[in-house]
Amino acid sequence: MTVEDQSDRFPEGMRVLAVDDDPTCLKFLEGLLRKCKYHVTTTNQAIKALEMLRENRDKYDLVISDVNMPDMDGFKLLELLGLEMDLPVIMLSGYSDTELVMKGISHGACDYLLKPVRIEELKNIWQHVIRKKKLEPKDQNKSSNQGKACNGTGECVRGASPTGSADQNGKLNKKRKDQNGDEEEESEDDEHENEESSSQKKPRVVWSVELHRKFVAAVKQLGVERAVPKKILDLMGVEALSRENVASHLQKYRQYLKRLSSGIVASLGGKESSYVRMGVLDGFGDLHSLTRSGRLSSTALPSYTSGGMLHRLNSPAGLSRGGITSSGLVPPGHSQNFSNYINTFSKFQPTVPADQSPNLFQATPASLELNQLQRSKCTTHTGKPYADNDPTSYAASSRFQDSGVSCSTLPSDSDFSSNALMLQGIPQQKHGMGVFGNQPSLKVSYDSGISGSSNFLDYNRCSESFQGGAQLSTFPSNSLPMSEPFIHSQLLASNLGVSSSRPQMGNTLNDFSSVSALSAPVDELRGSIQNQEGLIGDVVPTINYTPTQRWEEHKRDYDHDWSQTFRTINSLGSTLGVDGLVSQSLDQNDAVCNYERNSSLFDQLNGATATVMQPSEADNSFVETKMKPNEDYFLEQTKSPNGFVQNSYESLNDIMSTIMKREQNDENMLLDAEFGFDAYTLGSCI
Amino acid sequence: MERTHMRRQVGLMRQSLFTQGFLDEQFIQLEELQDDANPNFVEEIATLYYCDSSKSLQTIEQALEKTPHDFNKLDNHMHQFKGSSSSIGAKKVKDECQQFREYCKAGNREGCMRTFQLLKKEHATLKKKLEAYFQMARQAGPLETASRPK
Repeated sequence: MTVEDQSDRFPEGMRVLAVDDDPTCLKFLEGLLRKCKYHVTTTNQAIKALEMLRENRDKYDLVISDVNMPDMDGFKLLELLGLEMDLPVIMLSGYSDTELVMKGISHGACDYLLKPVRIEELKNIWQHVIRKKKLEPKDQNKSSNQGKACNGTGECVRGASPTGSADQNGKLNKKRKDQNGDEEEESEDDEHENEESSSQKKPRVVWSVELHRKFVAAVKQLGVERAVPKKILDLMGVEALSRENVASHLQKYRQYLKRLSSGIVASLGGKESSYVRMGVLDGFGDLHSLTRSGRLSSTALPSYTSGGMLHRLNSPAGLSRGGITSSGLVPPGHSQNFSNYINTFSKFQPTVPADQSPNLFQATPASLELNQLQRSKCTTHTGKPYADNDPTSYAASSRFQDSGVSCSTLPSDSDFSSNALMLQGIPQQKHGMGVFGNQPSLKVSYDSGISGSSNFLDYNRCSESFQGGAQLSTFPSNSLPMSEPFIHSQLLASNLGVSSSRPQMGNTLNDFSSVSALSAPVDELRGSIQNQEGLIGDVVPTINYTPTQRWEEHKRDYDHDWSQTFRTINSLGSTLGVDGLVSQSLDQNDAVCNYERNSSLFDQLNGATATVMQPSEADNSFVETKMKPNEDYFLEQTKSPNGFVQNSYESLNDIMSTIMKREQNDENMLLDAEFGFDAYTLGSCI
Repeated sequence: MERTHMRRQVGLMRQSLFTQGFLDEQFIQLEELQDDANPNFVEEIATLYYCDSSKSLQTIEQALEKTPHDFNKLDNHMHQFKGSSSSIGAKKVKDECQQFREYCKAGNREGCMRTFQLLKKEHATLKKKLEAYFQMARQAGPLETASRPK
């Protein structure tokens, strides 16, 4: 059966992946789906499902997953899928609690069905595939796509049938903004691709951090509103990139920005993921970090690249935006971090930070973790941990806002997250973060991502340690494999957690030096994060909203700072930019954290870790460099921690080495490439 | 004749399973899913259910033996078990599951233990009945299994 046939008969032949740990239910579901004439693939393990999807996302049009699964929480899987693959996912559960359904929605589920499932309900699920296809390409593309692509089957088919290919194409071709001469070609290509799904697809463009950075810079230069793919492409000056690639990327970016500004957490996760996916997925298809078993790490958190973290991370928008909004988590502890973070955050500004973010993210495998953590943590802990800590607790979105950067230490995102976090945290000085205090505005950025995670990580700890960048450190270990966006969110989350762990370190922002201490907390965080899966998700959403607004406001301000910082970092950084990022964001704390996190997230980032590690030496200098541009912001904050900062650097180095060792033992550290994912990732995490 | 007679027997047996409350509508859904492509779907799924559910029951039993009872956990296990039981239409089993969960929510240890015993009984009873039913259905010919209760 060729794709054409399938598309002609759509919804017949729609490829569904069913996931349910209960064999009886799975078989029953399979039977029902077969009866609906869908093409069914089943697996009773969420992890296996992720692998299958990562291996070839285009092989499936829709995923149906149970909520309660032993190896991974269904919501977590949902998030990851949304971020990484932008596939429509339907949740299945025996529980009909409103909150669960709500959770499903916020995590990006297309639908929520109750068990036992009825065939009537399954007969209509194809609508989600179509809907998603229609929504993705914005108007421009849609009409042209539809017009051209129709193989006589109409839009639906085109959109729906070669889901995989369409999606992929969509990414590349969907928005045919610059249609002019390309339309014909594109449509043909599209159709062609649609018809021959896998074989003739254009190679998917991997939106690496570098690429994304250029993209964001170009967009910024042109102005978000006036940016057109052609011009962006010209500005970027990347040979291998086509206008279609840019067009679809731009579309996603815009969606991301919109999401950030509208503060729709749920969408953040989803959209970001697609956005992020673009960049991240390609690179990190295997990020498995997210497999954290269903910790839903809160919708906000971008999917962990590993498991889905990448998705989130990838979407720069997500990172900056998502993470930031909720960020507040930026670990207050690290004054240095803050500066870094702040820098990062400022960068994250939807338009501007995006550029920067990618850099940051790259370096922050940790952020990924954070994201994860955040995700997971958010859901469950959303408000709990913070209750006590207040300053640290991310949970309270309000908190974040104050603390803004709570995440400061979010090393994971290394640049991004930390910055974002930092920024976020900075404003939070109220809480005692000292560092944050100065930067109330910053808060907006990362927290969203990270805060979510931090919350979870250490609820208890957060309150105190908030300041400690330690929080961030915890994240890294956790899971943030997700690309940057996640990291941030994660970082945020982790921040929370980190902060809690901070107490060990010495609490308060002045704990930058605690970097070394971070290592320890990181481990703790890891543990906590792992358990908390859902928390982040929840937390993040809350956080994100508020911070977002802040972000927007401060964006401008920070943009400049961040840009500088980023540039500096980038130049300083190694290829991955991780180095630069690393130094930037975390001052090494992040790096440290990142490493920690890497364990989970970094599968993909493996490379990154190594890279990140190296700069430790450079970081110190780098950090200092960075600090300069942000002097305004950071100086204040760093003043006190100055001493710490320095200390932290040293400790960072130590930590780095420790981490490095750890990394080596860890499985894939996502670090490298992953981090780079994109600024998106971070944002998307949220 | 023999065939017809057997078919009738199968039909009656099937009918009684419904009237006696062992099976419910869900089972009919399963039957509807059985077709040429899946000629033994119902039997397969029932087999799968029994294989999997025995393990679940063991887990729950073990959990019940531990004191103090972790009602949350028990409830979760039972929810899962209830889910799969309802998937095949095991009505009585499902009802007992529900009862068990009620007791769990109330923290009624005695009630839980009692209900669990009943549940096991129902589970075993249905298993025997289904086995007999499937066997007879196989003998009578494939058509029978898809017939609806009159």
